[in-house]
Amino acid sequence: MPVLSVRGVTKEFPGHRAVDDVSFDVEQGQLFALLGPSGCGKTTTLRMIAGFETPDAGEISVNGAPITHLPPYERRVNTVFQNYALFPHLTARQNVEFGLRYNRDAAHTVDAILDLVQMGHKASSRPTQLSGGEKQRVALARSLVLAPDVLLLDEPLAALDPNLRKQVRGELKALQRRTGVTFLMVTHDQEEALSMADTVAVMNAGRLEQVGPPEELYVRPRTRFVAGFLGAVNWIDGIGVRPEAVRVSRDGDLGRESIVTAITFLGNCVHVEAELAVGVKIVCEIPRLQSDFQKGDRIRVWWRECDEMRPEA
Amino acid sequence: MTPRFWLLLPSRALMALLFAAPMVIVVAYSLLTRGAYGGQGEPWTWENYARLLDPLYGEIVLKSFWIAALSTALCLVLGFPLALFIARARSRKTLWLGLVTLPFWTSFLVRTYAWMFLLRDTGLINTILLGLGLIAEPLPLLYNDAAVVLGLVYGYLPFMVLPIYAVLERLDPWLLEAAEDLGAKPWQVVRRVVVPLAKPGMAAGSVLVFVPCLGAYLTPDLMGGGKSILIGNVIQNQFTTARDWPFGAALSIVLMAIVMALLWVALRKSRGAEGGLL
Amino acid sequence: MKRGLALYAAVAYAFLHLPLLILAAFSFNSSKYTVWEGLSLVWYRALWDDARLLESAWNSVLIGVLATIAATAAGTLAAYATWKRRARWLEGSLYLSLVTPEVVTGVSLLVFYQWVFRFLDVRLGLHTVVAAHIMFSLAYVVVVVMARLKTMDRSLEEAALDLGATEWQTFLRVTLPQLAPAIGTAALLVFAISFDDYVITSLVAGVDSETLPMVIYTMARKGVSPSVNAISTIITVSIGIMTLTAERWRRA
Repeated sequence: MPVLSVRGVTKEFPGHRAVDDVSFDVEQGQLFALLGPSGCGKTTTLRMIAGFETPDAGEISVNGAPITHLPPYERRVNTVFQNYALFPHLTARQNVEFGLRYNRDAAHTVDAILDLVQMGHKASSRPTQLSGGEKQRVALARSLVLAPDVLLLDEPLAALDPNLRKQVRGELKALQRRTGVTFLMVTHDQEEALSMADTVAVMNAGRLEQVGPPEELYVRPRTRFVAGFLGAVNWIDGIGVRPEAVRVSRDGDLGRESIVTAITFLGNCVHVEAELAVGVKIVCEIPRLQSDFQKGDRIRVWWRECDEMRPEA
Repeated sequence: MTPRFWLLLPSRALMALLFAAPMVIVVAYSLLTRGAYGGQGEPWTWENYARLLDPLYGEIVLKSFWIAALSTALCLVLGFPLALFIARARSRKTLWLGLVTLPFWTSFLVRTYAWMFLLRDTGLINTILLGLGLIAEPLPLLYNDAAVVLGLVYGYLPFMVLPIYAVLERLDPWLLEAAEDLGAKPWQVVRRVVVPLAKPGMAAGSVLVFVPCLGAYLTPDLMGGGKSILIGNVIQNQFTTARDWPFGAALSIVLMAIVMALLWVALRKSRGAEGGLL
Repeated sequence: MKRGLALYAAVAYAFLHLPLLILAAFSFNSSKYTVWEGLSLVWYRALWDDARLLESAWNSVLIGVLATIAATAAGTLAAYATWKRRARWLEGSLYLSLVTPEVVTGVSLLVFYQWVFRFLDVRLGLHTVVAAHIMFSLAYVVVVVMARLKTMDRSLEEAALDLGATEWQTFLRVTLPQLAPAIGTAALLVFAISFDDYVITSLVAGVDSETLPMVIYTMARKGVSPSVNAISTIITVSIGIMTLTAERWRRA
C-alpha cells in the first residue's frame, strides 16, 4: 500500500484551475519529487496534502486512510517551509520541542534528532543567530521528531546560497535514507529533482505530465514538455534527440552532413551548433577534450536509434 | 458560531452601540425641533439646517476653514525643514524623531496651558517685557485668533513632521547625488528634487493636520477665550449653555459631511500616487 | 545648507519643548506670580491638600486602566480576525471614528446616553465615561496591532498548525508572543489618550464624576492657580517616563 495516495485532486481559484485532476502514489521510504515551472500547481498540491488548502474534488489518503478534509494538526504529515518558519521567540531546541506537546507518543527524543541533523551544539541559539543552512536543519528536526508518515519539503534548496546547494542536496538525500521517512519535495529545478529523487512527477499548468524514475523521464519522456523541461532537446522531423546523444565526426558516411555555424565553450564541454543541409539547426554536446571543431567545418552528425525520443504529445 | 464571530463581537458591539447608533440619533435630532425645556421633539423640520444659511454661521464656518488652512500651511512650512533635518541626520535618528513625538505623548491640555502661561497678561513673556521696561502695558498675546493658530500649530506639528519624514526616509539617495552631479547646488536640489518627491508625505500630513484643526474645540476655547469661535465651539455650546440640541446636531452632521468630503477627495488623489494616507 | 538646517532644527526643538520646560521650572517657584522668587515645593504640597484634584486624578487613573484593558483586548482580537479575513463594516466604522472630530463624538454619545436613559434607570457617571473611552480608543489599538500583524510571516502560523497546534493554541503560543510589543504600545497609547481626554469626557461625565483634565481645564480657565503648573509637570513627567520605559522594554 502506498504511504501517500493522491486521486483525482482538483483545485480552482477565481480565474484559473491551479490543479487539474492530479493522481499519483508515493511508496514508503521514497524521496518523491514534484517538479515543474512556477505556476504549474505543484505548491498548491503540496499545500493540499499538508492541509492548508482543501481540494474541490478528489481524495488524498495516507496509509489508506483519507485525510482530504482533515485540518493540518490532525494529519500525520509535516512540512518544511521554504523560509523555514522557525518561531523567532523560541530557541532551536524549543522549536523542535514545539509539536511534541500535541504528539506525546512521538518515537524520537529531541536530543537524538538534533544530533541527527548536527545541530546539537546550537540547541540554545535563536533563529536569528543561525545561518540559512542551520535554520533548515532545525526545521527538518522540528518535523522529523514527530515521526511523520510523509515529510513535505517546499523548494528546500531555493533559499540557500547557490554554492551550498550541491552539498545540501547530498545531505538531504543521506538524511532521507538514514531515517527512512518518506520525503515529498517540490522544486522547479530539474537538476535537483533528477539527482535526489527516486521518483519524479512533472507538472505543467495544473496537470500531471509524467511520473517515473528520473532516468526514465529523461530518456523516454512522454510529452514534449517533459522532454524540454528536463534538458535540452533537438527536434528533427518530429523526433527528439538530446545534444549529448548526437555524435559528430569529420568523415565517414554515417548520419547526415552539416556545417558548423557556432562553437560555444562551456567549460567541461563544448556545444557545436551545426546547420543540417535541410536548413535545420542541431546542437551537439561534446566533451571538451574531444572537440577541435571550428566554425565552417564540414561534419557528419548521427545518433543511435535507442536515443531517439518520440513523445506522445 | 465560528471563532471569528466571537473575536469580532466585542468590537462590533462597541462600534454599533456607541458609534453607529449615536450617529443615527444625531441625524434624527437634527431634524427635530427644540423643546420647551431644552430637550427636543416633534415637529420634524429642516429648519436647523436652514439656519446654517444665516450669514452669522456662514462666517463662523469660513473662519474655521481659514484658521485650519493657515495652521496647516504653517505646519507645512515649519515642519518640512525639521523632517528634512531628521531624515538627513547621520546618527541618532530615533533620538531626533523621539524628541518630535515626545510632546505629542504628553497631555494636549497641559501643552495648551503651557502657552497660556507664557502669553497671558500676567504670563511670563509680558512679565519679562514689562520688567525690562520694553513695554508699558501688557501685550494682548492671548485670547485672539493668532493665539489659536499658534496653539493649533504647536499641537499638531508632529502630525505633519512624521508623514513627511516617512517619505523623505525612503527617498533614493542616488537621486540627490545625480542632481548634484548635474550641477544643482544643495538648496536647488532640495527645491527641485526633494520637495516634489515629498509631495505624498506633505499631502498626508496636511490632511492629518487640517481635519482636526477644522473640528477643534479645546484650542480655540482656551487660547481664544470666547473671542475666537469656531465650529467646534458652537457645537459644544448648543449642548451645554445654549441648550439647542437639534441645532447642535445639525451642525455636527454638517461638520462630519465636510470632513468626509475632504477625506474622500484626499483619498482619491492619493490613490494615484503610491503611499496613500494611513 | 547643513548648518542652516541644524540651526533651524535647534530653534524648532526649542519651540516644541521650551513651553513645557518653563512650566516645569515655574512649578518650583515659591511665588504665586510669574516672577521668580525661589525654589519651593509649596505648590506640590498644595496638590496633596486639594481633595477635588486628588479625587479627579483617581478617577482618571481608574478610567484609564479600565479603558486600556477593555480596548486593548477587544482591539487585538478584532485586528487578528480582520487580518485573517477582511471585516468591511467594522474597518469602515473604526476608520470613521478616527476622523470624526472629538466634539461630534462627544455630542453623539451624550445624545445617545440621554436617549437610552429614558428606558433605563441610569445617569451619567464614571461608567458612561469608561464606555466612551473604550469606544474611541478601539481604532488606535486596531491600527497599531494590525501594523505589526502585516509584517508578521504568515507561515509561522501554518507551521504551528502543521506541527499539531489548533488555531487557538497557535494564537496563544506563536502569534501572541510576536504581537506582545505592539500590544504594549497600543495599551500605552490608550492610557495616554484616555487620561488626557477633555472634550468627550466633559460632555458625558455628569456631575459627580470629574476627571483630572476637567479640573485642570477649570483651573486654566480661571487663570490664577500655580498648582496647575505643578500637576501639569507631574503629568508630563509621568507619561514621559512611561513612554520611555515602554520603548526600552520594547527594544529588549
